[in-house]
Formats: sequence, structure tokens, C-alpha cells
Amino acid sequence: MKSHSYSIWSISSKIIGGIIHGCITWLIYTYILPKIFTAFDFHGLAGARLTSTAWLGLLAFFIALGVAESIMRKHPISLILTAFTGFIGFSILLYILNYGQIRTEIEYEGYIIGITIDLRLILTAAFLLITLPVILLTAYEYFKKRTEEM
Amino acid sequence: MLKLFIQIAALFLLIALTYPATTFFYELATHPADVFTVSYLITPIQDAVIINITITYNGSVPLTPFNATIAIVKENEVLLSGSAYRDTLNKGDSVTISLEVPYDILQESKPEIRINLSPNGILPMQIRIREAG
Repeated sequence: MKSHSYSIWSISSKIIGGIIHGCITWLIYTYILPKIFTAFDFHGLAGARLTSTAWLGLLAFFIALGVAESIMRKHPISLILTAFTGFIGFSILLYILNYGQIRTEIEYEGYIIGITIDLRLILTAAFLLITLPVILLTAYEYFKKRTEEM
Repeated sequence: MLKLFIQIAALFLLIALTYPATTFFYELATHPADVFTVSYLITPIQDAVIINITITYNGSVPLTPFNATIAIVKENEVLLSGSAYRDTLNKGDSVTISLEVPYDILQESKPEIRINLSPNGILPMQIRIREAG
């Protein structure tokens, strides 16, 4: 009986952990990173064309991936899910930011000032600093556990 | 927990990396005429005019590198251009570009200023200034 209640608690905590992880991943890739890179309004960003249903769909998608990844933590598939979450998140970020080329126009005293920003360098930094370390760390934790269990 | 810490640390690092560009862009979006002061001198000669454009930078973030071009444009095609390059442009620095434009080209085209720069060498950007309409 005791082990049964522990099992339910364990699964619930994994699900809650997965939901929180999914929400954080969604927040980082679809809100925080685009906000950091485009502190001001830019015209024609692909992200602006996404409807609220699409945003909620993405949130549900990341939560589902987070929960699946959390439940299957000891299974090798969790590594694939972590990598998949990272790559999907980064792909969505690229899509929102027009694949690294964003532009805006300001009209000022009869002149049009057009500004084009190349974000490819900083997006590469985001991939190397955020996406890749999380995948590598998950792989490290997984193989460390496997070695300890053997 | 470690993954979350890494993500938060990386976010702060990215904010620090993009801060100069954000500051520069904020200054440009709020007071464009204060960030770059553009003055010009047009000197007519026999069959052409010599256009001298001086761009003075008053923003707080060093621009590394800075490349300014005056282009004489007709239907998106560059007919003539002149450039000035600086490794670093600090607050108060100026660059002058000189370009000789024949009258016949001047009558059927429009001048445009193109500036390629990178605040603190992080985010490359291009600024194009042209007449509205």
C-alpha cells in the first residue's frame, strides 16, 4: 500500500515537473528570446502572424514533450525527446525571428529610415549557450545514472 | 535544476551580449536626428556636382565597424557610390564621404545613404536613409 501511494506521488511529481519544464521551454523560445533580440517592434516578423490558438498549441506541444520526457527519464527515448524539444524550440525561435534577418522602417521628417538587423551570429550564440548545453547535460546525467546502476 | 540554472545564466549572458545593440537601437528609435547628424555641402562644377556628406555620430555605444556609403539610386539600381570606413566610430567622431555626380545622372535618380555598422561588434545592421515618396 505504501509503495503504491509512493508510486502515484512519484508519477504526479514527474507530470508536474514535466508541465513546468514544458512551460519554461515555451516561455524561453517563444517569448523571452524573441523579446531579448527584438527589444522594439519590427514589421513583418513571422511571430506576429501566429494566432493565439497557435501560441496555445505550441504551449500544449511543449508541455506534452516535457511530460513525456519527465516520465521516461530513465529510458533512452528521453534523450531523443530532449534533443527534439531543443531543436523544435530553436526552429520556432528562428521562424519567429524571420530566420535571423529582421527589418523595420521609421518615417522621420520626410525621410524613410530603414533598419535591417542580422541576428544570425546571436542566434548561433543562443543555440550554443541554451539549446546545446541542455541536450549535452541530459545525455551526461542519463549515462552517469546508467554507469552507477551497472 | 542544473538545466534551469544553465538556461537562466545563458539568458543573462545573451542579454549582456545584446545590451549595446538594444541601447543603440533605443537611441536611434527615440531620437534619430540626435544619434547621427548628417550635414552636406554641394559644390557645382562644369558638368557635375560634388556632394560632400559628413556624418557625425553622437550615440553612446561604439560602432565597430562602421561603413557609410552614399549611393545614387535609380529604380533600386546603384548608378554611383562613394564610401567611408572606420574600424571604430566613437561618440563625437565624424566621417566625410565625397562623390562627384554628373548632372544627367542627378536629374533622374535619388541619393540614398547606406550605413553598415555593428554596435560593439555584436549585431551587424544596415541603416538606409532615403527620401519619402
